[in-house]
Order: sequence, then structure tokens, then C-alpha cells
Amino acid sequence: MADRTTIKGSVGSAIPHDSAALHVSGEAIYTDDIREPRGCLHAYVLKSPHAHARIKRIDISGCYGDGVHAVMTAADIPGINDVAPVFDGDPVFAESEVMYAGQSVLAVAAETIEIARKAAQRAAVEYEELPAILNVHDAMKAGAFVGAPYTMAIGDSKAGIAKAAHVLEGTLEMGGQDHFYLEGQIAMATPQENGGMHCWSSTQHPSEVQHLIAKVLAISDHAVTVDVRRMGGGFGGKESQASLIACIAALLANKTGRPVKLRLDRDDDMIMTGKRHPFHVSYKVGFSDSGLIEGIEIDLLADCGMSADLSNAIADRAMFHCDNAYYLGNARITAYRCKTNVVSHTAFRGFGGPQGVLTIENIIDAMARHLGKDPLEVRKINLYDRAGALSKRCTTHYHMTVEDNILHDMLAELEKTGDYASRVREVRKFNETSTILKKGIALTPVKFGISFTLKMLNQAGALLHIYKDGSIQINHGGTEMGQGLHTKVAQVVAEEFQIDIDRVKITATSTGKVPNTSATAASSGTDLNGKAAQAAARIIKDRLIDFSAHHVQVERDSVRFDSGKVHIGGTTLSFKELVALAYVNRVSLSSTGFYKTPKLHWDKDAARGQPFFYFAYGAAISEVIVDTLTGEYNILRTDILHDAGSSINPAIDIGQVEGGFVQGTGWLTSEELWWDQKGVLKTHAPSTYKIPTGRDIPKDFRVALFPRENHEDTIYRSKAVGEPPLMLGVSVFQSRVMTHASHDWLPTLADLCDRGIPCVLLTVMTAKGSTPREAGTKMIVTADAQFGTIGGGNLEFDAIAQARDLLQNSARAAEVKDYALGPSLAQCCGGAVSVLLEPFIKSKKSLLLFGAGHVGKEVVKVLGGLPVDIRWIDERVDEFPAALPAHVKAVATAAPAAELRGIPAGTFILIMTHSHDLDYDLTRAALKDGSFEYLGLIGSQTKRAKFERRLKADGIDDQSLSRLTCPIGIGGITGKHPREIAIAVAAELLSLGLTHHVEQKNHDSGFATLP
Amino acid sequence: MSDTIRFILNGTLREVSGLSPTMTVLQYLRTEESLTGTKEGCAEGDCGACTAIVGTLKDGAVTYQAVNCCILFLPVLDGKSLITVEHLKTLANGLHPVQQAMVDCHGSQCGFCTPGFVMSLAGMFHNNPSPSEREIQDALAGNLCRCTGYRPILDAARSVAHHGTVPFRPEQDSLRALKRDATFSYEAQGQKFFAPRTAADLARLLQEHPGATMLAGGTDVGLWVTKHHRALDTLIYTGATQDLHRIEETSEGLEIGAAVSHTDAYDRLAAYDESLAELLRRFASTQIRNSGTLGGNIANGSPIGDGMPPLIALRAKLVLRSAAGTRSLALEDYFIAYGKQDKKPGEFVEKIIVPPKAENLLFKTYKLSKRFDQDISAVCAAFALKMDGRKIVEARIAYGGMAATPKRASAAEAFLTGKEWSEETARGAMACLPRDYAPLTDMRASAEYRMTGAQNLLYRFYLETTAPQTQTRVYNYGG
Repeated sequence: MADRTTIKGSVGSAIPHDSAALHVSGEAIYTDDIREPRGCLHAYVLKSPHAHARIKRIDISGCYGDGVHAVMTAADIPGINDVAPVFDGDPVFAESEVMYAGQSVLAVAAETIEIARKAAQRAAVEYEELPAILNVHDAMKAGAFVGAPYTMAIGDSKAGIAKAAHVLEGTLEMGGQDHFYLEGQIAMATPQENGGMHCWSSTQHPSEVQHLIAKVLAISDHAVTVDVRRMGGGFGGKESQASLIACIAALLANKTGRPVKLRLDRDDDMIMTGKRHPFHVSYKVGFSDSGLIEGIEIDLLADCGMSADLSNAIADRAMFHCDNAYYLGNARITAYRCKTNVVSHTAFRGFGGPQGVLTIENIIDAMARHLGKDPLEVRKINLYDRAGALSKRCTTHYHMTVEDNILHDMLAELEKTGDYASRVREVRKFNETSTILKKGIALTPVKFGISFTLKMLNQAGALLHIYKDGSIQINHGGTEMGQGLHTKVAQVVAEEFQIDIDRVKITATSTGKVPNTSATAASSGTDLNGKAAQAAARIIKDRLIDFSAHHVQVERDSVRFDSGKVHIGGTTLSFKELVALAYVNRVSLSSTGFYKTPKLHWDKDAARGQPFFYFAYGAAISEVIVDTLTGEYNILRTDILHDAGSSINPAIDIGQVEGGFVQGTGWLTSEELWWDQKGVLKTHAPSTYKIPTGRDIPKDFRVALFPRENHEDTIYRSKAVGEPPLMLGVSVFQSRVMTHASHDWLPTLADLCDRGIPCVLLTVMTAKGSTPREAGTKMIVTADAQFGTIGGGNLEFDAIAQARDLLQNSARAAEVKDYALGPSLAQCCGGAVSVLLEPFIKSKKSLLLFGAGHVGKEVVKVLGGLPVDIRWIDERVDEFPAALPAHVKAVATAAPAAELRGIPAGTFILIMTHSHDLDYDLTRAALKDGSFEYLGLIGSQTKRAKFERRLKADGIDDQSLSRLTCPIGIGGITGKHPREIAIAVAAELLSLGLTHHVEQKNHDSGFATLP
Repeated sequence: MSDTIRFILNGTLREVSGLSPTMTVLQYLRTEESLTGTKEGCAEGDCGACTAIVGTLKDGAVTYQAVNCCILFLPVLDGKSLITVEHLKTLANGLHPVQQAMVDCHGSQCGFCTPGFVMSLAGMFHNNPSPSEREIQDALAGNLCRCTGYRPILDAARSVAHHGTVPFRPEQDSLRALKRDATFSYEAQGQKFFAPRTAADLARLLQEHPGATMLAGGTDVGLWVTKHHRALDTLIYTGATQDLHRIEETSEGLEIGAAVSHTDAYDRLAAYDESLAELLRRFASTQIRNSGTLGGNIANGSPIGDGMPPLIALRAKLVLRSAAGTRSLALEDYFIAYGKQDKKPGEFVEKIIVPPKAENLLFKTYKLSKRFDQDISAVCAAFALKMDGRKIVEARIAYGGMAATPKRASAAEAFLTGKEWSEETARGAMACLPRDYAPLTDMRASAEYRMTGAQNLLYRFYLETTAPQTQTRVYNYGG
């Protein structure tokens, strides 16, 4: 869109964040950097040490002392003791009961934070511990919920599953995630005259903080002003959680009459405030042979913590995203909102969406592994139909039509640019030979619904002033937490007035300027506030057009704003000149703007409607490497293609995509929240809670935006980009799954049988108690290699030894071996496992034919119809004919000699390549190995003599040399036509017994006994 | 009579008195100087938002190193120079090249971590104008960013490496003027801080103040104050004690003074083995290694310090000193039980002696942690096998994270001794480990993971010493 205008910072230009120069110089002001007003006090909050307890007594008399100005408990709150965003249940201070370890019990304001902390710790609080519910399963048993279970359904899920060819059931546990914004929660409240309160708050939701301060102080909203200049990160963690901090500061400021600052240190922040919801998922899915979902039932158990907070909307969004990008058909999704005695979990980038997406991506992966298919194939056939198709396969399980699905095109492009197919092959090849390190690769899509699912929140306001000098100040309801919202909105305003962006300034968000705002959340910041700012700009622009048309006496449509100038008929003024003129002529240069998102409706009782204005899409391929000994991993490469519509600022949008991806990866890898058995969080600082560092990002990281405008009328046809990319991190998780869970045993077994290499298939039959791998896990063992794993350790070591024993003694049939995983195997899991060992020992002789030249082709023609397995090898893929006879397998390889590795003793080898050097290398390798029944080399006696000299020099002894046949073919046929040679050679091979079955083992055909 | 703390702040002399000796440099900057560019993200030296540069006079020149101000006590700055993010624009007369590159590459989003990244990069470029990719990663391993996903920050670093930078101004003359010959004694708010210049003075001070807290790099003691809110009455700081800063090769081996920082000890220890080099490179972060000392890592007796397993396997000795004299003991004997060491009142760690690597020694050390960089080990392992051909003559195996102290695997060692180094032997030794250790489940790892991990690291050691072509390291994969 650079061609649209020549102004600086136009819509579509990749300008830096408007605070970038302040960030890098340390000059950007965060709440803790604001000069403290005279007499500012510091607050400290005393927290509950128990997950669940009755408060028997609170004695604060010991708290007072030098420098201590106020101690507050629930009893001292003038208004209502509740800072919950929607449903009641989040007290400022606990009253009779504490509901989680870390809950605020009382707070102290003192002259320094050290004095306040010591004073608070002198409070005598007596507790009587009560039984605590610490996981969703106990909550289900107790019927403890923060909201009623809710179901979304379409079609008949039971019937769909019943008629499906395959049915899988499974469960999935996913942990929570701490926001770990670098700036912890903070607020500074200053009392105003006449009972008013001003508060600087690090919040995504200043209007709610304003309202809740009014509520706890029992004053009107108009008496409270909340300002937010910027946050040092939010990610949803300052949507509802900032209120508690701001309200405590305001309560103490109100009580002392002095400014009060409350800044949580990192530990208190992580202990006291909510996180992403941990989920337990169970599912049942029915699907066809091709992997098409025919029926699905999913139960989501959301660990909501001790109160509702935003959990109901979050659980809903998880349900809305259990389809991710796929048509589910007959579906039933239910979410249980479990109440537990941990901190109340809250909004976090994705707002339940990631849990839904991870659920269905795991299910698809399980289906693909069950069918032995590439998961991408299964993903693709289940996608919603493409935009415009409007078939039945466009309806979601909440009865909304997906009208804008661009994933078909995006996946096709990403598969190509990310080189998916050949990299899958490379990964498989790597895993065949690498015993300890294994690679995985996965491509996962994202479809994310854009809009608050509560309709009323989808509104926004802005306030725009043009000053006499032509400079503009714009305020809107959105807050800046690093996402570049202010930059994008300023670009919109600059674009509307066609002026350089440095003439447009956005300062702090203030409830005094724009009222009744929604949280800056749900990725909606630019969509809502950009439109509101545009509306304000267009109102003033309209006045300026009216004025100038009248002033110069031209028609309205001959007034045009362009590149810093305003053309009014034949007259041209600078924007600044026009503004000055308009002021003199008493034109109002200030306006509000308002926007509400169209098209939304939702029938909660019927669980159907259009909760989203549109969808944003994305896709990622990640390739990882995993150490099967230790579980260490490394992301080798990630390719992302993301849909930001027509991007207002590609640099900022790419920043959101990369940051979201890395944060999503962190959730699914190194970030682990760990509560002890008493429900006390033990990971509450970066020393114990590990977010990704710079070294954890993909070694090769390729990110691109998909250049297609939003089909809906959003601000400059852009799309929301805050949350969707987080779910691209799922690609990393799914690729890790491949490295350890989806070892491709079927192709490996087929390949080994094909090559006549004896092997044993090991299958975990039953696994009781705690075992390293689940039933059904398979691995394959040959005399010198292993493929896959049944869990490592001594169990696997012993099973491999048993398998090799079976290979030695080829008369033995399949057998089952039982293992108790105890001290005897030094295995720590403590369960029991039985393993089935099935030998696959080929009975036929086979021919390894090197060379697809004229003679080679004729040999294949002559022998092609016979029951002889021919493995036909050449470096030149184009030399092979398109159609091959049965029993012939063409192998194009750059390393033909590798084909000689591990061949069984009965193999016939024919060497007739296009190169003497290659002929020589193959002959030498075969002779060195010695495990063949026949070795023939095309050529004359002269060639033989030359080769023999070189072979001797290379250490091949006479006895070995005597096993080489050269020239080849039965005697008496002297013609040199390739077919004549081929017939002579075939006759020789047949006379030596190539087609005779020499061994009869326990399997006639490799696959007859496969399950 | 108390000395004043004298140091150079952003080019200007400061003389401080009256402030608590356990006030951190971060608190000082933000509250006393109103220099709020330096941020608090964690107050434990793990996020890097508080990174600033400390200049130290060493052999007539000034060494500039990035440190975490959040756990650095103010009196430690005595005689040093401190450069904060506010000073860079002055130095560069406009945005510093690192700052400009961060703007140009879109390296900031919320901006809160940004000053820390800028200072880590400015410190690195002062010392190393053309860093390698790995050196950039090492320099930033102690800085967390939650917004950007790091790619633009790494790009900014690469572009500075390409375009050049502005070094810090020479300050050796001003620092020489602050040099002290006698013990620095500071007292305020009822707390005392001593920084003796010689080991003899240190021993004497410790005798006079038997309850004093020994302070070296402060990367652990700092947290006693910022996290545990403990009151420390008397501190004796080893950082200015010249004798404890020596590193020398003697007939006994490599002798490392207790006050030598991890950064300064790195090159000499890294020479023992590539795996030890990697372990030390992963030891915390650049900022922590610049402050923290090997002596402190040992002296505080933590069961999870990464220094101990390899040093125990390599037969390191510890020299303890007091006013009464010195004594030495094997490193593993120092650790008696959790929180209990063989250190008598008045004793301090003077040096660590690492004997030369024996002939025919197979040695490797590994760490397992949730995250590659800046993470405390779930399991840290070190293996040393003295070989005679294929036969194991002597085995020394030590693990951290598996018991209440860093501990040798005596059952596994006994099993290995005298056997041929084969897969069967390795498997046998792995099977012995449950007799040697009963690890705990905690937030870093489950007991099961620790045991399996410990066993499998032994198997990795077997593979790497017998089948070096086998790929075993995900982090080095692909170079």
C-alpha cells in the first residue's frame, strides 16, 4: 500500500513502534518510573499460606509501628468487598475463608516497602485448615463448579461415531501458563479533593479498574480517573487481574489521605494472580479409512481456580475452537468449569482458544497415527471447505458458517515454500539411521474467531483533537502493552488526514477522555479503536470539507486531502494552514468517534449464532530434534505463513506473529507451573519458571504474512493479529509427538521385508501401572539396527537381546515376553509390560540388480514375470521405465553401495552400472561383506583382470575373488545385443537356483500375520 | 569511622554514605538517583531487565562487564565504575549504535526488557566488536523478553556486528584515584561491610566477626536479601581481596582463588574437556558469571551447583583458610549433609585445586535442565574413567540434583572398576544407580525423570566414549 500516499507513517508502512526510541534509551515511563508524589506510601499485601482454610482470627494490633500508616482488612472496606469482573467471588481481602494459597488477607501502607512488609508479617492470623480441591477430577467428584456445564452440538455425534470405521478414545492433560509480563502488577493511587481518586494502573482494562475502585470506595464512577500510559507486557494477565492491585492501592490511599503505590514483586505477582487455565480433555472420535471425522465428542474440564473471573467466557472460547480449522460434522462439545483451591485462572492470549486448538490437533494426530497416514493428509481432508464453497462442510459446531476460509490456499503455499514433502522424507531417513536423536516435523493450521464473544464488549470510542498548529492528539479506549496499538491507530489518523505521523500523538489512555471502554483484549484493539479513531477523524474531516468548500465556494467533492496538502478546487493549502483558517472561522476541531462491530448475534440457550465477525488464519511447519535419552529438544526450523489481512503495519504484525509463536512454544515446552501437594505454587520466579530465551527459538525462523485483504469491512481491511499466532506453537508440540510416538513402523517393516532383511517386530501388548510406553507401541529390530523405541532403559535393552536371539534361531516362532518393571530391570516406572516378538524372516531369494542401462532393462524384462524379488538400483531416476513388473522395486539413490548393507545370505547380486568406478566400488563392497549367494559383474576377462589387480591391492584375498563371476551369462551365447546378454545372464541365475525356495520359516508372506 | 562508598556513575564521581550496605544497586539507581531506565523484572538475577555495566580496574586497565544490578549490593561498587542505559546517548552523542539497531530492527515491543538487552549488547560489543552467533547468544542468555520472540533482537545484534559500535570511554585514571590499600570499612543503619585487600586481613576480620556473612559475587547472598528479606548485620566481601583472585598452574594442578569469577576461570577450566566447556558456558548467564565465583558456588554448599560434579570427578581439592592456618580436603568431603559443610567458624574457602587430567582418562560432564540457558540443573553428571586399554582401572562418577549434596555414585563406581568398558558394563552401572540415589520430585523434575535421566546420561557417556560417530546432542546438532 506504499503507493497510496507519500506521507510518513501511512497505513501499510512498516514504521517502528512509536515508543521505540524511548524504550531503547530507558526514557519510556512505566508506572513505577513516574515520579512519586510527595508523601507517597508503599503497600504490602499479606497472603494466605493455605489453599483452603477458615480464618479464625485476625489481630492487626502488632502491625502498627514507626512508619506504618494504615492496615486494612476486609472489615475496613467502605464499599463492596469484591473486584470480580463479571460474576461475584473475588474479594479484595478474604473474609471468613481463604480459597487459595496466595489470597490477599490484609494490606499495610507504610513509608517504605520494607517497613510495610515487616508490619504485615507481624499480623496474627489464625487459620483452621480445610480440605482443599486441587485438581479437576476432585472438583468433578465434588460437583464444584464456577459456572454450569455448557454444551455445543450439531448433528448426531453418537450415530456418527457408531457408524464410523475407526473409533479412538483418548485423554489429554495440558498445563497452565504464567503470563510473565516483564513489568509486574502495579498501581499508584492518589486521593483527589472531594473524595475522588486518581490511579495510574498497569491495566488492560482502565474502565473496569475505574468502576471497581468506585465500587470498593462506595463512590460514583465519575469520581475516579484511571490512566495508563503503557504496560510492560500484558498478554491477558492485566485484563482482570490489575483490578485487585489498583483497588488495594486506592483503598489505602483513601484511608491514609496520601498517595499509595502497590507494586508486586515477581514472586507475589506469580503467587497472587491468575494464569492460563490447565485443562483435562477426554474425547471419542469416529472416522473413516481416509481419516474423515464422522462423529466426535469432547469433554473439556477447565481448572478455573477459586472463582469465576473470566473462566466461563474462556471455557466457551475453548469450545468454540475445538474445531480449529476442521469440519466436525456430528459433534458434541461440553465444557465443565471446575472450581479448585488454586488462584483463579484468567485471560491469557488466546483465551481458551489454544486449549481447544491443541485438543483437536492432538486428536487428528492420533487418528493419523492410527491409520498410518501423514497427519497433514488427515488435516487437509478435514478442513472446512474453501471460501465461497458454502457447502454443508462450512458449518461449525455452533452453527456459524465459515465464509472466509483461506487455509486451502495458505497450506498449499506453505507446503511449497516450507518444502514440506521432501523434508518429511528427510526426517524419516534421518530417524532410520540415527539411534539416539530423532527428528519430527509437523504442519498445523490455525483458525481463530475474532470478536469478544460477549456482544456488548464489541464497541469502542475515541477522542480526537486538532490543535491550532495543525498537530493532532488522539485518545482511544485501547491500552498500549507493547503490541503497537497506538502506532497503528496513529497511522490510521495520519492516513485519514493525509499528514505525516509525527503530527499525530497518542498519550496515556484515560477514563476521563474515553468512557466505558472494553478491555484491550480478544485481539480487538486495532479493529475496534482503529475504527473509532477513524470515525472521529472523519467527523472532523467532514467539518473541514464543509468549511473549506463553503469558504472557497466550490463543491464538497472538489475538496481533497492528499500528502500533507488540502486541495480545495483550484486552491491548495497545507493541512496546518487549513486548520488555522478553520479555527479562526470557529469550526470545532474536536470530536469523539464511536464504533460497534456489525453482524454479531449469539443465542446462548440454543448454542448457535455468529459469535465472530470473521476468522484470522495462520499455519506453521516446525521441525524439531529430540534426544530420546534425555528428552532435550531443539527447534531446527519453523516456517510460518500468517493472515493479518491487509496489514496496517507489517513490521508490528510480524512482531506479533513471532512473539506469539514463541510464547505458544514456551507454553508447550519449558514452561511448567508446579504446585506442591498442599496447593502451594513452587514456580513463582524466573529461577524456577522457564520462559524461552533467545536460544530456544527456531534455528531457522521464516515468517511471512499472507497478502490477502479481509473480506469483511474492518479498518483498512486488516485483521486482528494479537492472539492467533500463539497457536502456531502447536506445530512444535505436534512435531515432537512424531519423534517419539509415531515411529513409522509399517513402511520400515515393508522396506526391510522388501530387501529381505530378517527382522523382529516388537509390540507392547499390555502395560499395567506406570510404564514407559503405552500398549500398541512398536519397534523393529534387525541384527544390527533398531527402529523406534518401546521406552528405552533396561526393558528395551533386554527385549532387543531377545529379538536378536530369535533372529539367530530362525526356527522359532513368535513369542511373548513379560516384564515386571521393578528393581530387577532398574526401571523406575514400577509397572508391568508384556511384549510380543514376531520374527519376519524372508523365505525367497532375491536379486539386487545394480544398473538401469540397456542390459539392466532387458534383465528386468526377462526375469520380470517370475516369482523373483528384484531390487533394482541406479543413481539416475530417469532411467527407470514408468511401469515395472510385479516383484520389481526401483530404487533411485545417490548412494548405491548403501543398498548392500545388511543383505541376507541368499542374495544374488548383479553389477552392471553406467560407470566402471561404481562397478568397482560395488564389487569391492560386496566381496568385503561376503554375504551373497552369487555376485556377477558385467564385463570381459580384461575387465576382470584389471579389477582383480585393484581388488587385491585393496585387500581382497584370492578366496574371495574366486566367488566373483565375471564375465557373466551361460556359455555359448556370443551375441552382443542387450537382450541376448540378458537371456544368457538370466539362464545362469536360474541354473543357480534363483527361483528356488530354500528356507521355509514361520511366515509365508511378510504381512499375513500383521494386525 | 565509616569510609564512604566511592564510585563513578555514568562518568561522575559519587560518594555515598548513610545507605544500607545491603541496598541493591538497582534500588539505589531508581530511588536515590531517579535513574529509572534500569528495571526490576525479578530481583533474583534471572531476567536481565536490570543489566548495567560495571568497570573494574585490573592490572592498570578497566574491564567492563554486564551485571545484574538487582542483586548487587551498593558497597560492592566501591572503587568501580557503573554505566547505566541513560549514559549511552551521552557516549554516542545520540542513539548508541546498539540502540539505533534495536529501533531499526523492531527489537522492542513493550520495552520493559529493552534497556537490559541494550546494556548486555553494549557490554558485549565493547569487549568484542565482531561477535560470533554463539557469542551473541551467550551474551543474551541472561535477558528475557516476553514480547518479541527474540528474532529482531538477535537481528539487531547481528547488524551492530556488521556496522560497528561505540566503546566506553577510558576511565582508568579516575578509577586509579579510588584505589584503596587498606580494608574498606563501611557502616550504615547498624550494618557493617568490610572489603579486605589481603587474605590475611580477611582471616583476621572473620575471626573478629564470627557471625559475619561472607560475600563473594553476591549471586546467592543477594537473594537472601531481595527474596528472603533477611537482615544481614555484617558482611565480609572477598571481591577486593587480591590473593583470592589468583589463577595459577602449580605442581598440584590448576589453583583457582575463591574470588575468581566464573568468567575469569572459564578459559582455564574449559581446556579440560569440551563437555566441561559447554557446562560452564551454560552456567547461569553472562551477568551472573561476571559476578559469581566458583569459590562461592562451592562454599554455599548447594546440592545443585553445577561446579561440583565435574570437579569431584576430576579429584579437585579445596583449601580452607582461617587465622589459624590452612587445611585442604577432597572436594566431596566438604559436603556433609544438606546445608551442612565441613567448615569451621573462622574458616573460608581460599582456593580450589584441580589436578591435571590423568593420562588415559575418559571424562565427560553433562547437565539436564528444562531450558538450555540460565537454568538450574535437574541432574548434573560427571564421569571420569581411568582406562588401561579397554579396561576400567578406576571410576569416579558424581551427580548433582540426585541427593541432598553433590554425591559420588559408589555402587556404580564399584561395579565399573576392573570391567571392560562395554555396553553390558554401561547397562550394569546404570542398574546400580538406584542403589546410589533416591532423588526427590520437585518443580525441576520428577524423581523418575531424574533417575532415568541420570542412567541415560551414563549411557550417553558410554556412547560418546566408544561410538563417537553417534549423534547425541540436540543443541549442537547442525553446528
